[in-house]
Amino acid sequence: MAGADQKMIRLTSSEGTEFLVERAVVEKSVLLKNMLEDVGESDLGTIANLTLLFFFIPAIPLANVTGPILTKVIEYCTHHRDDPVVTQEDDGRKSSADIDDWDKEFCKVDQGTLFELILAANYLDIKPLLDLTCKTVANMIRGKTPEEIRKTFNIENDFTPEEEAQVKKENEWCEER
Amino acid sequence: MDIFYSNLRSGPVRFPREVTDIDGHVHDVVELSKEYTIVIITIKSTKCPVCPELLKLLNFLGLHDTPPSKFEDPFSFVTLTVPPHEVKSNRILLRLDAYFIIVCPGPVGEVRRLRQKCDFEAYPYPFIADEDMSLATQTGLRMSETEMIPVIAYVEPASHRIGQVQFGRSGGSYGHAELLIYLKRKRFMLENKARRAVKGAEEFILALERVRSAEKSKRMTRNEKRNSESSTQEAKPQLNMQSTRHDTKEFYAGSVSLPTELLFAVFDYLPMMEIVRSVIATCHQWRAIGFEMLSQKLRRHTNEVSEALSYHERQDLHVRSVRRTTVEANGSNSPDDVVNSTELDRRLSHLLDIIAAARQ
Repeated sequence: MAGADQKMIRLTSSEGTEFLVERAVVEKSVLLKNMLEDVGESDLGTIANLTLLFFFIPAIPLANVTGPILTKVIEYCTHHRDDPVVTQEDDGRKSSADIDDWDKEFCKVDQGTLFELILAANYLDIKPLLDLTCKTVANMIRGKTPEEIRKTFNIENDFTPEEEAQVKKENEWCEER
Repeated sequence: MDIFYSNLRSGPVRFPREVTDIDGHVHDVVELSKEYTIVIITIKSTKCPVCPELLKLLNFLGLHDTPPSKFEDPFSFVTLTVPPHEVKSNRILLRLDAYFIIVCPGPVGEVRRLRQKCDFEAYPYPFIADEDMSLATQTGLRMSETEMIPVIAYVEPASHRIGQVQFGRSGGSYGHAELLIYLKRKRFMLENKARRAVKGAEEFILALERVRSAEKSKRMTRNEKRNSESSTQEAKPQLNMQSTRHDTKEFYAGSVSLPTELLFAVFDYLPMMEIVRSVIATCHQWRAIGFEMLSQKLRRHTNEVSEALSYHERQDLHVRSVRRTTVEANGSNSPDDVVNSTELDRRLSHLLDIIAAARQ
């Protein structure tokens, strides 16, 4: 439960489920942070009386995020609420190896949920979550043959037999390595 | 370049891994040599009138931010001037590429005065007072009880062996020209290699673009074909949707799809070899994205290397002609973009790795 000095924000998922979240947690999303800054401090206020909050403060609708996914996103942002903002230079040499245990556990979800988390992280502009989920999918691809990848992600092999033979021929070079 | 031998039995001379300067600061030579070309300058003694002139000359040649416009050699009475563009290129060599360690026998106070006299106080370069001549002895450069053989030498990064740039020093012959040639040679060789890699990468990007266009037109033709088939088979819309969905710009997991830009974000975490080996062999959509990524990465790394170069293309010269060459700092690149040789080497390695992965 939020303390008297904690600012709470209401978020509404695509199905209309309402979530009451601390502002510090909500602000892990750049989209929502900017939105809240645009709205201004006075419109939000410091809410001590939660009943008042429900009556007078409008909720932020998140039409692209379902309730279960928003729950996961809030779980992630709450766990990482005190993490420093990382301004990592994109040097083109990203690594998918550095995932901590909590994050690994967090990403143990079915593929559909994982993809929805990627979409939500992208929509809400939560870069660390986007990085984490993309890394997780990358790790699912890593080390697999094209056939295994197709199986894992249920991808149709749309190469013609001639094209597939050509691709295999191209890849002989890599297989030798 | 010759490697120093203190005597035939002991083998090549190695510079200490750590040195302590006259201010009591410890300098990690191993770490420094990973980033710079370590240049050792030994001073015969604090009383030598010739040796300090070398340090003053380095300032004049471009080490100093505001070097004097001329240098009057007190021994040969020759007045030297350097054109401003050459000062600029010398600065790249002396400031970005080289890191000086000055060793001088004698008490700390006198070595400190020498540093002040030569206007070297503002630099991070360590001045080592070899009071007990131990460093002189260890490096085989002990000349007498109180003097060292004056040399300019470099330290090999991996082995820490000392190699000679200039042995001895006399009025009018300080070794500065030899030092510049040594540094230029190193940079030229690297930049020539980098320039060849950039040229190769640019050609390769064009080839990739051609493959990508061919892929795109193949996909378009296939889509058109499928669309015309689907219009004649209206009774099977679900089947058609299922079979053509990978031709849309989305990647599905169950009912959830990822747009192309997010697939890019995912693939960005894969090594290039993985993209070449697996991604582009999975399906047409992934193949197109894989080629696009290869092309993007190549462009990015090519630019990184290209903007770090310090010389104009017309100066892509053979090392043998370095001595006669007047080098101009690259006018097309901002001086801030030019990086030191070690960083350039790093960027070049990344570019070459990607070219190697992509060139299959």
